[in-house]
Amino acid sequence: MADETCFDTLIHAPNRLQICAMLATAAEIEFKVLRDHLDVSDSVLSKHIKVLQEAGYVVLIKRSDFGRQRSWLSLSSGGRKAYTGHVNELKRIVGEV
Amino acid sequence: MKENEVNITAEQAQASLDAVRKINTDAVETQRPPWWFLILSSAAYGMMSFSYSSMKHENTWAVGLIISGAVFFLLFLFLYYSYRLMGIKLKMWPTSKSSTHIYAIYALLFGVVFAGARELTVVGFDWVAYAGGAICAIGFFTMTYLYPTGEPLNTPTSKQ
Repeated sequence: MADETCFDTLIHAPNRLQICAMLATAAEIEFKVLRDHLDVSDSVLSKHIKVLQEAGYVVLIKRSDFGRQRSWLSLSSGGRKAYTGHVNELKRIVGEV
Repeated sequence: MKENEVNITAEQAQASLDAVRKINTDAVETQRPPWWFLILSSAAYGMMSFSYSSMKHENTWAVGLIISGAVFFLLFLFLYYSYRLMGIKLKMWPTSKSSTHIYAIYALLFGVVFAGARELTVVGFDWVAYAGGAICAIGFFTMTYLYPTGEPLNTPTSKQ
């Protein structure tokens, strides 16, 4: 079965592509961990997360651990599919597949 | 310069892929368990295989299986919890076609070695218990070191 490829302009923005790439490696990642890895400000990350959330690609869950509020982010199944499809399309463009 | 239907050049696509690969590499390095964990969990896993293969009515290797199994489980519980405190919830199940392949290799390798070593030891090949334990320990160490995220490095692919 061939891998699905689909260029997604929403994901293609550099920061959003990196957010999806990071989220694809784990079940959930905390907001501040993602911010530190991508080396962006809270506001920049929030803006991109909001765009991805509105598209249904990212799920934001706020949980309280040991009395501290933590924001956890994960890729939705649709987001994971869109991300992998986008990466596969990039590979197709550069001739890797 | 080659262009495609979405007006992105091959060079731009390559730059995006490089960014994805850099993030993947960072994630692998972040999520790779520490050496002490790799050594202890691999040893516990190898011990599980050896104990299971060596179990007989007249010996106490069943206790070895229970202890090594408990140690293995507790180590993973500790790893999962400590990563969660650090802000990363590790994946427990495959989420892509490529990670499904890796999990299938895990299951096949360890399932065949576990069961095969036991069967051969029971029929008299005692050395197979040692070989099975060593294969499980080395295999587990290698797989966990190379694929801590459950994804092959640099090759994200889709699941249909």
